[in-house]
Amino acid sequence: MSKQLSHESESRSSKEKRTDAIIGKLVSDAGAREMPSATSEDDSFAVVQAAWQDAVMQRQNAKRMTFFAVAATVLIGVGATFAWQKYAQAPSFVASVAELKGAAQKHRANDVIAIEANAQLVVGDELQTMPGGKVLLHRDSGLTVIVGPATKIAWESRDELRLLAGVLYVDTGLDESLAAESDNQVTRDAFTVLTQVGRIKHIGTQFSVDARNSEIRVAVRSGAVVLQTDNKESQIARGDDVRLMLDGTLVRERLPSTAEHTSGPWDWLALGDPQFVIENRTLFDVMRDMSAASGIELHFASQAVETQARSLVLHGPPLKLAPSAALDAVLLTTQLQANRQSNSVQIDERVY
Amino acid sequence: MARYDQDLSLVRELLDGNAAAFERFHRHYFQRVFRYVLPRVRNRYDVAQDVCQRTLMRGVSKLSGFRGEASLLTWLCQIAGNELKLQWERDRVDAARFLQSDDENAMRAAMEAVASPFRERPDAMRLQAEAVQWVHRVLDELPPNYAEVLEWKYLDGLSVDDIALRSKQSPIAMQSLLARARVAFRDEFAKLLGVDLFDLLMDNEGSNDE
Repeated sequence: MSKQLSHESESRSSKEKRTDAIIGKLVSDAGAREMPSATSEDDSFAVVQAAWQDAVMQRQNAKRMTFFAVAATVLIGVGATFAWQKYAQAPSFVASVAELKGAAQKHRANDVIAIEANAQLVVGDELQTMPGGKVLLHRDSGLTVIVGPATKIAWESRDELRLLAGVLYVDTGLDESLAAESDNQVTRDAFTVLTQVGRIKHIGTQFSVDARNSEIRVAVRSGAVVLQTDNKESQIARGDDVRLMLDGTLVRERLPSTAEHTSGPWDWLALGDPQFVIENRTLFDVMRDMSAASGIELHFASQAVETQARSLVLHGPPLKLAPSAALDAVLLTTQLQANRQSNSVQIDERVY
Repeated sequence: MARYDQDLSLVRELLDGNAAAFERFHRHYFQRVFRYVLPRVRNRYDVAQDVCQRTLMRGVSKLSGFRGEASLLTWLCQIAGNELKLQWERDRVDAARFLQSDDENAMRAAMEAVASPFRERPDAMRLQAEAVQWVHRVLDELPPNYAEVLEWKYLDGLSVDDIALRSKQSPIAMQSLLARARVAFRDEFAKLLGVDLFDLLMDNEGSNDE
């Protein structure tokens, strides 16, 4: 009996030793585990954090909504019919004009009305700024939209704004730090920008959408946005500069690090003379920023001229000049010149 | 089951908006999901990072759906699988080639190839590559200190005394930790592949003897 137990014990011990040996062999044969770069981990952190905060906020809002729903059920009998009738008759408010620079107008039904500060916008309204004009819109959620110069937008629904032309900048008021600290003061806004090639939905962020050229350019300053087209969905992270062509092609670039905080596609937001960063940027990009800041449309005399502008990389300190003067300053160092018309400028080969 | 309870606890903290829990979550799972994705996108780091980021974004937005029936890593890998399918469609890659890696039989065959003392099979090289992924996956499923001590022992070739010195613990404590780590490795292996490591070895040796 004891011999049998001893044999079983030896057998178990031998089995364990052999198993340990095979574990050792597997681990050593497999080698070291792959590691992602620290940079990619850092980049991912901010974007995933924004998505997580958004999800947490939605969950908290849903909890609150459940509470309010129960409370509302108790009160709903009193005056509900009256409130509903009033609501049904009133057009749906979407945003108010908080600030106005230059001229802008709104189209409502068949009327064209000059925009003034505190004007209210409702679903169906179209708003158009003149060259050099800018409008700051404010929504109840705290989200703001800055409508750039020579821009036309239309409110298609309570939460959907269509960018018909020009450029706009969205600040959801939900940047990472704010969203992390405030779980009660900020309400998530389901705001979405519609363009002819896709829908841009924010995830607690600041971003611009530019439809001035034959493409849609989405640049994200903080947080992240989701770009939805007919057949796919792409996340655009902080510092990404994405161009979506009309044929659906998507070109993703990174903004220069200086652009995230001081300049870039949102130069046109600055009051007074903006600062144009030119170091290591192409002439094309710099001119496009200047165009955005001035509201003057940019054209190229030929494809060859545009190609030249795209390939020429500039160097030098930032220019703090009016856009028009800044344009002349950068063109002086090139073989190109600007031919100005009323609301546009055409870039052509310099004539000596 | 206890470990999935830990995963559930982490998920609850995340759902409550605990920032420290999010840091732990990202630090732990970004690397592990990255390792799952990398070989499935032909080792293209940039694509793997992109897929990994999308996976975690989708994961954090669906956390309330995590039930703890599998580990959080397995759950995230399932989400990564969906993201990978989209990526393969984008890259026009034959998904079947990669999907095969997830098939249990392929896993088992991969492990058999590594366990075998005789590597005569013409497809041994490819199977070994798949086996590497699964060994790393098993290590990723272990508590970090278990995986670390196994790698120090078998990969870096450190003695128990050296490991004890490195982790500032006694050799006896380290011996005990190593033993627990090996048991955990074997358990996790059985959980993921549905087969006991020793049985696999025995089957394999038996078939080689024939």
